[in-house]
Amino acid sequence: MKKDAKGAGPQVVTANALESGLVVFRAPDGRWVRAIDEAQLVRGREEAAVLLDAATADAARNIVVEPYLVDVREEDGRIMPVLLREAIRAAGGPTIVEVSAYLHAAAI
Amino acid sequence: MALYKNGSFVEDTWRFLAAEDDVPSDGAIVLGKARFLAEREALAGRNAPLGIIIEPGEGLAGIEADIHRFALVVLPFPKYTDGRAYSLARMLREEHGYRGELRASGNVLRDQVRFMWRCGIDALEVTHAGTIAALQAGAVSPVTHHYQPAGLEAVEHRLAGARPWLRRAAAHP
Amino acid sequence: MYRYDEFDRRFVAERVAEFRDQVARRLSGELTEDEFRPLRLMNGVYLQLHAYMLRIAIPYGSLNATKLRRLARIARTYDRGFGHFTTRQNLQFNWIRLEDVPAILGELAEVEMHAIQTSGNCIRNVSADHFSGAAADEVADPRVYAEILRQWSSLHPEFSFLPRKFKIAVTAAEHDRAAIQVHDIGLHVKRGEAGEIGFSVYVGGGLGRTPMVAKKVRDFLPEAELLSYCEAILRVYNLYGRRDNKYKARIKILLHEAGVDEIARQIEEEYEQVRRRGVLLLPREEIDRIAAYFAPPAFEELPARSVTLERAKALDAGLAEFVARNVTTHKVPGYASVTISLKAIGAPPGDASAEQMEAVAAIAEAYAHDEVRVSHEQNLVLPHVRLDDLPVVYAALQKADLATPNAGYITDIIACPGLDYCSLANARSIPVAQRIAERFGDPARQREIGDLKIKISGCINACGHHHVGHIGILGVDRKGEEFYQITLGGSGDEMCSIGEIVGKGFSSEEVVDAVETIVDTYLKLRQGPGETFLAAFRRLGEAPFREALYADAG
Repeated sequence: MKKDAKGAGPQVVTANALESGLVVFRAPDGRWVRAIDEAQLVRGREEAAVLLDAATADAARNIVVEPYLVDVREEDGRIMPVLLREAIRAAGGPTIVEVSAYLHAAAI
Repeated sequence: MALYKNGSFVEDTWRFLAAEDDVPSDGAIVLGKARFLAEREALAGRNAPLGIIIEPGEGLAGIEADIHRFALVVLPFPKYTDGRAYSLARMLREEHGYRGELRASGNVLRDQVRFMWRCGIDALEVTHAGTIAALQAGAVSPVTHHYQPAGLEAVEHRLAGARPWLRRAAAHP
Repeated sequence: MYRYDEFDRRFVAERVAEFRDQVARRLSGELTEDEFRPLRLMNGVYLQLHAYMLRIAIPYGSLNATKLRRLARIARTYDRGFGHFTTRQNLQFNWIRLEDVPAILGELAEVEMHAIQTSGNCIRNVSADHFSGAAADEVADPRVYAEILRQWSSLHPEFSFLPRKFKIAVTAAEHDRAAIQVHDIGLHVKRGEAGEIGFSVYVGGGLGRTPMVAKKVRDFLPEAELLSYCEAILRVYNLYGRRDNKYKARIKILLHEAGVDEIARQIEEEYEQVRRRGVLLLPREEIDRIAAYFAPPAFEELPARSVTLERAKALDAGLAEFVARNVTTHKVPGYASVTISLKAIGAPPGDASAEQMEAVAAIAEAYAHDEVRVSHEQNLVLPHVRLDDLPVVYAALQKADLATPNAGYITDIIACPGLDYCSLANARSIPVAQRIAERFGDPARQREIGDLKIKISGCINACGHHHVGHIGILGVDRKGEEFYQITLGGSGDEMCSIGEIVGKGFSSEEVVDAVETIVDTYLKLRQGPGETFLAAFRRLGEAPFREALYADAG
């Protein structure tokens, strides 16, 4: 289940794209991108509020759905979500091998 | 607020009494169920049309014997996901034989309108701009085939030789 | 199988047009997400963790080759080449674009399918025994009544905005394979003293946060009064079910709070009103008209024992194993029902690739009277196969990686999509199922353990039915870590019981060992191989299992 970010460390804003439903992050130039590493990183309550406001305005303009803040940490220059749920979203797919790929691998 | 009835938007001739208003001696008035119950005896002598608002949680208990006194029943939909008024509408029409105006009020979306009509509601008090536009354009819902009898049987056809629970929509009110 | 007539076709076409318009209004911004959400849910569209998910209705789990091939085509064209069969006999696609949904619905309509009411606070897909029409122990075909209910509940004007979702299941056998007692309404088709059909009606079962076994409100409802009675139940629920708290909104809570006697009284009172109008009474000829769609195929007269099969079994231990486990007695001699396990060791439970769907379609056409079922245990079933054909069917299934001989074994695990896909989940389910399956995957070991149902849910909503697993596993979030709570002794059949929580939860690393400890304890304490895990648990209680699990905890 989605949890509110605590905001103790750095944060990014995520949402799902309206048309495709795919996970997206808001980049510093206002675009919505698939890669969390390209997301705008904010620190502190004020910066986070500004970013979330901009994202909410994008939702009102029907670009994305249900934007929210996500706690992250920086590791070796990469952005990593703190919570497993958000890490799975950011990875762009499940932690398992999907059945089509599984069968394909078995056939090789 | 716009009132849609008999295929067009019309002027509302009913006066909705506020809590502090006294009951006027003439004119069509609408009261809440609680006030009606409290003033039932006094209202009995009044010689003008009477309407009642029944909130979804209030139900019909206590007014079963009075239903034929009303010329208007207003069923508020506080949220469009609150479906209790659909049951109240059908019970009024089917179990109590109510034939007066049955009006839905609230945040009515066009996607609900067909369900309302099918449950016997024949007037809509609409605030949603998209719904008003859809009603004006006559583009409420393309679904005209139904799998169950409901509400005002008069506005729907049974199909000869087909499953008896099927209905085709006729012209809506 | 039920076939659409012109009326049914037009209804679905109109509904597709309506949803196409709703999607267009959302994409154009006329509808906000808050306004659109209930509309998309009523047509099976969720927004999940990674993308939109589309749940397609498979009424009472009935499919044929044409439908399966279309599902395969949709999987390939619009998704990632696979689909997930659910515990309510439906199919989910995980990677759908909202803008593609109208086109997908159009493709489904061409093969008499849709996604109507596969979600939302309305009457959901009506489920039924997956061996319907084939089971030796059924008194009638429950799909007839499931189909009548499906029609009546489709876009029902009064019951489309209920307090919460509403699920109906039908069985016609004493042995309940449809889990009717954990449904909002469970119908048990029976015969009365004069041989006439009627229903025992159960109300208020359900899993989720507050699991409850349904209560019987009618012992024998006459066949003709099915819809009148269900309409009365739904009206009472629609009016009086709680709407202040979504976790207390199911009919089971209404029943629990008001008492079964009071709710039964209200239902009967409302029922008198509905019945008096008479409009929903089912005429004999209409029931017969629906029943004709489910008439059995032209079975041949065959000996009860197939020499071909017995010879093949003697030569192929794999086939013998498969027949012993995945083949069920049919009511007609010389035939059998085949369970196609979607639980290959190491694969995600309940998932099938487009190629596998096509393989099953081809087998069904050639050897199974073009009938396929989805079971609530997330497997597929070929209900009518000649015993003589079992060797070729087995070979074809093997080729498609669909011949895992584990039906009902410990590796035949029900699992919800969990945190890998689901936006409500708190923990992953599929990887736990895979690790358990790998631990117990050795055929001899599974055989030794015998019948054992493990069911895994990734959150308290219990889509993986963990409460009725012989071993139930519930994923929870403990301070950001996945933890798994174990329940024991649940069962979803006619001896329905809710599993008991055995003790504190286990970490993801510990949970498979914990299951192994439970299984080893059972093997040690059972009174021989004839005593199943569930029987042993019912005899022993949870104490020995708890001791074994927590002995070292101090």
